[in-house]
Amino acid sequence: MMSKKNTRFLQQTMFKEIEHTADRGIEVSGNSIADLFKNALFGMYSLALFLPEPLPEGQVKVELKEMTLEDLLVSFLSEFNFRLYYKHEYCCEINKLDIRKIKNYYCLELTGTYTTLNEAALSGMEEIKSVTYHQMQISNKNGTYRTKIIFDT
Amino acid sequence: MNFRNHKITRINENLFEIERQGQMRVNGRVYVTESMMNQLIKEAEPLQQIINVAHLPGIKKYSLAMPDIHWGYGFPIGGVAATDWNEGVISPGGVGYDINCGIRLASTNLSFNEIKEKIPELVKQLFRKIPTGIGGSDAIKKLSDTDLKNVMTKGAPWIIARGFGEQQDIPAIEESGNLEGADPEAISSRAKERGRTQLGTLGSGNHFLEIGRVDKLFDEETAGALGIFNDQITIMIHTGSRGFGYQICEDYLKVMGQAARKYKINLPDRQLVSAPIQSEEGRRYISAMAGAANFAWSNRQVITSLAKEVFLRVIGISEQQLNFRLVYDVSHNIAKKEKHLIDGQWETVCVHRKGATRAFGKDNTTLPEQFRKTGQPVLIPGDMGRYSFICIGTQKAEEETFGSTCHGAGRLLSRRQAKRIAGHRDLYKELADKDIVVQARGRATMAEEMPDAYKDVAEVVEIMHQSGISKKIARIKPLGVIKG
Repeated sequence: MMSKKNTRFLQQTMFKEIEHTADRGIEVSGNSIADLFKNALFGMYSLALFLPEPLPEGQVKVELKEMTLEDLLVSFLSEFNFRLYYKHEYCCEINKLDIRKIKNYYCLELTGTYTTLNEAALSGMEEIKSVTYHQMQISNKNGTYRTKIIFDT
Repeated sequence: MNFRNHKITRINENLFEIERQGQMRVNGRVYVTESMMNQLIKEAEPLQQIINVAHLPGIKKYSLAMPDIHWGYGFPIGGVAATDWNEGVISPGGVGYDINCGIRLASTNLSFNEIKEKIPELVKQLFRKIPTGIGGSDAIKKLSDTDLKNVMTKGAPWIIARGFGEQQDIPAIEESGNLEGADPEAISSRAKERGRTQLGTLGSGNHFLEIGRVDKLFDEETAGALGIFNDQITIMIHTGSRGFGYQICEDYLKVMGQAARKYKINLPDRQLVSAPIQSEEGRRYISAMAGAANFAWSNRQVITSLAKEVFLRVIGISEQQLNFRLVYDVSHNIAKKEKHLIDGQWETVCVHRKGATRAFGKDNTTLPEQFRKTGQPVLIPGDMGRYSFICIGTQKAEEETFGSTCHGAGRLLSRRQAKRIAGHRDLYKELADKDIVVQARGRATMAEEMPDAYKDVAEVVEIMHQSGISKKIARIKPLGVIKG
């Protein structure tokens, strides 16, 4: 199921919301690791708010390094969760998302643009307290990467 | 009865034991009725989490679960585990993201008839005064670095000394509102950034402030000793350490992931990651967690003070007439150093209570004098349409559950299911028809938090009452609720 939210990015994303008694979660897929991460990000956004039209205001640059892909995905989503709730910024466009393994670490580099949420977007926002590791396991079957992501809400 | 490869034995009417298998270090025990146990076997995940917790190095006696058990992260919600202070581990998954989320109850001298006409105005003004919802902030002046450090290290007594409450509130807060050992250096700058503007804010989700009316006394003598009487107006607050605590949990799940590899602690769930209590990583987490615990107690203290101001203003009576008094404040997401009698020996353990409430009984010398004759008050909230309970801790709890009991009703419906069922129902009107005034930040909150979304807390409380773990003292019905 595709999200019905109205941004150009979400039209390309692959995720569906899954049932969880106390919190919320998504099952996400992608044709590459970077694609999976991108879809996970916009999946998280779609749970949190009705996204406004993307009006790029500034550049966003994120660099992360973790020992496992799951750790990297949690750190990646947590970074943007923080930016969303505490800076009221959402990343509306990803220009580059590069994930590679260097020695014992998975390294991520992202550049993109952000939009600052207006009052209307903020007032309709639902809280995601944290991104959890629960049931997260990134798998690759026939070139399609998948994982579940559960958010503590 | 069996669950996966584990034999389940019924110990008594409301207690079941899960047999230790494989790498489990102790048996599991869960306080539920037979029908609840059958349901848990169907759901599988919460029982598996009790089993997973039984793998923690240094765990003592049992991996325990209370009757409000449901699926959590690492530990189940309603999970309790004590680990050896010297040889065992500490796990952020046994505390939760919202460190020191808890409940406090304040009482007044008012009875229902004296204020029933003013409930809508009280709710309106409380909603105005106390920031709710996402990013709710600036209830009080933004904290300076020094202020934040004092909140982290000195907790509620410091905020009380700043005018948010009375000295007599201090002994009515678990740990007197200050968990020792907090170290601001163990807390990230991002956590501090998230916490700086959030003191005195309620947050979202299941957090609330509720005006209630005591509608039933189960034990008049103990209720009297706690200053509780029939028809009395009360204020109940449910919130925690807000973004400050979430960030600390997030930070340390990462640290503990590395520590688990370093100390070769193999556990069945990534969310259970842990480090030896005596390791650098373990000690730092305990120091950071204590900072968040102190933040949460200060948060509830500020909200209480703001609520009192609103009551005085709206009702237009003197402080003496109102007699706004803190009954108690309990944490239900925390890990603490405590001494317990284990196989005839007093041992120092780290008791993880994740969605579980401390329930020490009478004569416990760690309780303030005023609660040694009764036992510690235990506050168990229900949903916004039914009732909450005041209970009291017992010596049996200290013997069986490391002095712990349940913490709430537990969800029946997922948030999505609740929204679907709520549909186009007018939940405000439904509650108003029951004489309950609600003000919430959004329609989604109302749907997700509607009474039908929760189990009946009375069933949960009854199991612990019949088991002798926490005894019912009084029931409180909601009259007015504010939510995020």
